[in-house]
Amino acid sequence: MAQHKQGSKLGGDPVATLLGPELQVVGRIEGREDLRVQGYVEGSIHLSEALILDNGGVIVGEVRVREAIIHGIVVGDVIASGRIILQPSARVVGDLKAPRVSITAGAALRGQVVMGESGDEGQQESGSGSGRSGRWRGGAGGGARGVSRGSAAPSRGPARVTRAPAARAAGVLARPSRQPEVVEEPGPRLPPQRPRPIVRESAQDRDRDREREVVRERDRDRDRDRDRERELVREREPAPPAVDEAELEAEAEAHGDEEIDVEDGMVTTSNGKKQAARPRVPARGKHSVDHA
Amino acid sequence: MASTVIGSTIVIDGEISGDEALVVHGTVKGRIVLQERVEVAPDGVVEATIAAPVVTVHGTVAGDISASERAELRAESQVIGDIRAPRILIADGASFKGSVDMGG
Repeated sequence: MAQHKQGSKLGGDPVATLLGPELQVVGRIEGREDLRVQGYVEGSIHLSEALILDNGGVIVGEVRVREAIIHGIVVGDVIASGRIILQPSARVVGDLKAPRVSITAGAALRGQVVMGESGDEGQQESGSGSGRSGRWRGGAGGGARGVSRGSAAPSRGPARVTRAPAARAAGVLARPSRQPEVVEEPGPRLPPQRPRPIVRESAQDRDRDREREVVRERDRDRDRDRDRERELVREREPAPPAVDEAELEAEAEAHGDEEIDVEDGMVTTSNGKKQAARPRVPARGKHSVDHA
Repeated sequence: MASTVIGSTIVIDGEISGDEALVVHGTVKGRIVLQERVEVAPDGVVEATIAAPVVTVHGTVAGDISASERAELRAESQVIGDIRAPRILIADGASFKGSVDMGG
């Protein structure tokens, strides 16, 4: 009676095997006909025909079929001897292995894709029709003993692969994505520091010191020039308006050997660093001022 | 046609549960626990305990049947196992081996 139900074309005959949306299957599924899954399947699915996983359907476990058309969610490897199609709503965590794989825009996949010659390792069968059917029958007979419900850990392949993807998926889903190799240290966000090797640091220091020396010398020269100019100006106009020489002297004493640029409001300390003598004096562009 | 159909070449080894009518043409081993009717078609083979409101068997069942409403063993059916249901129908021609518990 059911013979006429076999060989249904994809999506055509509505009498193909259907696991409805309100159904949960925990265990192994094998078959030689198309299977449409709308519900939840936990365990391996081995078919010699096509699997159609509708939107809303979930498969947790290994899928080994001729064709897989996936609209739903798969957590586990999908291995097809023909092709795999991930439709826009598909979500797959696991590897895809098939001669032809197509991933439609919108589909999500986390896993590897292996295309080309179908992994015969994965097929577990000779590939010829008779061998295949024999294999299915053998599998069924072997499974008849020891009806393992739930766990469904039968022969060799499925038990390993059903568990592995689930575990991996759990890990993968928990993680944000590929773990970066270098983990950033937690803590306050500091301005970018370039890490300097020690050898180079000394060289850089030397360069910096030399630069500073040059700057200091130049500043000194300029100050001297300015002082001279100022003196000339003072000679010319007898009443100097703003700067009081005595005050300057006092300040200079207070600051030791710091050089004070009055116009600038900058203090050049003995180690060559310039500091603002007063808090709110804008630095001028021509100075490379380090507001330490 | 919202009900679940398990085709004649399909073998399910494990537990089927849910809230959906089920028609079995293929083979199921393990356990079937549903909130809707379960039908085992003439070519269906169930080696599992079945728990559902209504269980109708045309094919073969090896396992206990627990129906909260009705269990029907149709002609041509072969059942080995205990049946527990308030109403039980065993058609002429059905083969049955096991005990019957119709509650009380």
